[in-house]
Amino acid sequence: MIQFGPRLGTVGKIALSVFFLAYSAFALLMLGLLVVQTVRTAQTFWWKPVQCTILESRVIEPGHDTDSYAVAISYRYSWQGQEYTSDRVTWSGKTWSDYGAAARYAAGYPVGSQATCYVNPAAPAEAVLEREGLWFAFIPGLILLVFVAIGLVGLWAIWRKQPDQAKAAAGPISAQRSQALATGFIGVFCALFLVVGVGLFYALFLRPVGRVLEAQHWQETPCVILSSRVRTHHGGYSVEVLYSYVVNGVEYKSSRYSFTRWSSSGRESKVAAARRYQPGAQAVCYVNPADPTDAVLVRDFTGEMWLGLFPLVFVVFGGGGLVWVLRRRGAKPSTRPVVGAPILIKALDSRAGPLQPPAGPLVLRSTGSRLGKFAGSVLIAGFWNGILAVFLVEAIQSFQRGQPEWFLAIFLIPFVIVGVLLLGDVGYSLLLLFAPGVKLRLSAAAVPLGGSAELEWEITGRATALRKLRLWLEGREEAIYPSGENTSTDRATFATIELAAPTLWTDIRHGQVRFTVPADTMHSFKADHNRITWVLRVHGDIAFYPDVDDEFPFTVLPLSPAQAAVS
Amino acid sequence: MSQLKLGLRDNRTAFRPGEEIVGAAGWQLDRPPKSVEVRLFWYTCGKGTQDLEVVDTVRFEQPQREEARPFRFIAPAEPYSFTGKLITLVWALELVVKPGDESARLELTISHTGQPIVLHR
Repeated sequence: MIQFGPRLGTVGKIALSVFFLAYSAFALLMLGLLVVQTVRTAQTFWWKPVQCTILESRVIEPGHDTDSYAVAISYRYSWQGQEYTSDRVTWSGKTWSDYGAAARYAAGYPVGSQATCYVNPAAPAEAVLEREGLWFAFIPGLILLVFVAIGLVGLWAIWRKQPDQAKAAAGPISAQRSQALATGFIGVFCALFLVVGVGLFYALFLRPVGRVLEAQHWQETPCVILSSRVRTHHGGYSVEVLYSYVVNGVEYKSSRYSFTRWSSSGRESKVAAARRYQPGAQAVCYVNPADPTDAVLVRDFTGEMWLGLFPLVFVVFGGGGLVWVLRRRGAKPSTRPVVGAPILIKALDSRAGPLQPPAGPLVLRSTGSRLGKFAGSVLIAGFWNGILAVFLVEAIQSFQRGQPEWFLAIFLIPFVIVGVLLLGDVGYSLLLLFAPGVKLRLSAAAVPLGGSAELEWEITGRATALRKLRLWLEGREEAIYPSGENTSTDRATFATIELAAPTLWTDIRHGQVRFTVPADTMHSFKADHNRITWVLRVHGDIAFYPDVDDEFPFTVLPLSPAQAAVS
Repeated sequence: MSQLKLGLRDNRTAFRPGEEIVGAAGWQLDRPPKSVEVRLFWYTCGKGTQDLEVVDTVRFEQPQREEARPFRFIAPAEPYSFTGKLITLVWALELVVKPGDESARLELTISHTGQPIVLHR
């Protein structure tokens, strides 16, 4: 359950409330603007259709303040005997990132042709050539609603009345469902992540790659470069080129350089490309035989396309989170009401049946294998520093240009420190890969309370590097609780049973010990937020190198009912 | 004013796994109940967010407004009642009447020693 209240002071509550209020208010404001825009667009559906004559139809090339193509289409129409002209294509306007797409649209309204336009009967000077569908508002509206909900839920979580302990004691505790709400929210977020990730992956990787493959069969056509330049965006550069070509005696223009449409770092390569395609130069472009307005200058797979794999991070996090939530919800125990005689004797459920330790022996593996730890730290450091690099390059280049962005540079400092620490962790994990390995062999996979087992250890790799070794059995409590918007885990060790501490090299390398789990302690226990964990721990001391510090999960079983009865 | 009561044979509240938990539930209600049941469950308290699992339920058929009914469970094999620095696990029986929020609770100890396991000694 989301809980802020009891852990926050008044100042903290007010500060968080201001944040969530501002968050909700901003999202509401955006939602309001979207609703106004949608209503205005929807009104055109009540406007009256009339015949109109196209007077002008052409593509408008982007100026210095925009990188989109637009169309200039003007038309004349008459309403109740009065003549009007308009150049409004749709209510909210239409732009394209590609010249070809804009040209295709303009070609649909040739000069002198007749078309249907829609006139506002209340203000006949207002007309549109096309009525837009309202789908444009659906996804942004949904996302904004989620943002509004986040803010409101945050406020609710801060100020909701905490359950009164006395009242709670009076009500049925057994009816409480502590996790339903939280997992529900996590599930919605994960689903959103997954949908957005899949959508972006399709748009940024699958579709461009598909178009690259498609373009391999396009017609090689000579073209003339009309203009070329490198455009600077926030965090990157892109090549902007306009070229013309002739197909079947008709001249066409296109602005598509390659099938990637986003900007990226690496100004030099963009400048080189723009130089290669100087205005007036002859080049080869590739034209879609099915649609001559569809052309591209570079039809190969470009390095930028790898960036399209980035949304897979969202897919992995969203999908993984969703699976986790579904498994967690599916695992929720439910009551098993039984209608029967006045006296009901209930059988033990499956978990309460005779407990048999699994047959041994067992070779134990480390909880987080060193390779897994290394891969994890590389992934996290790569993810963090990869995103950071985009902004860092921008900041460094601003200094190189002599126009330093001081605010950006100062803002980045804490992020850079975290990035360096993460890189340090990668180095540490890498060193651990080459540290001596630990292999444990247990005579039984699980041991009941009061039971014994034989433990055999073996140090692999550079065993001579170890100055001393310590093996012990540790029992600990683990309590997970909400802390702000995250969860924290507190641990308290309640049992430390020393197993061996060899110092001689031969004893360090290989040895065995028999141990007994105390009878009067607690067995392994795992609930959603509270756990009793038993682990076998191994610590090896190495001079001037990261120490061996491995942990192996170990199961301590409760006694079977028959054993418990005689204990 | 409704009254709900739970009682165990010989007032015994500590059990070993596999032992019978025998008792009676009694109630005197202001209005006829739709359902009356006794739940055997455990819950945690302490630093961590509460976990809870209803392990078994006895539902009484056609409950009257004023009545007493016997029930019987078998003490589950696990988890044991325990108390530590961060976590305490408590077993309990709860008599729950619906509609409404009325209930009566009786805490139990279930462990192989018949006592709650004390982790830190």
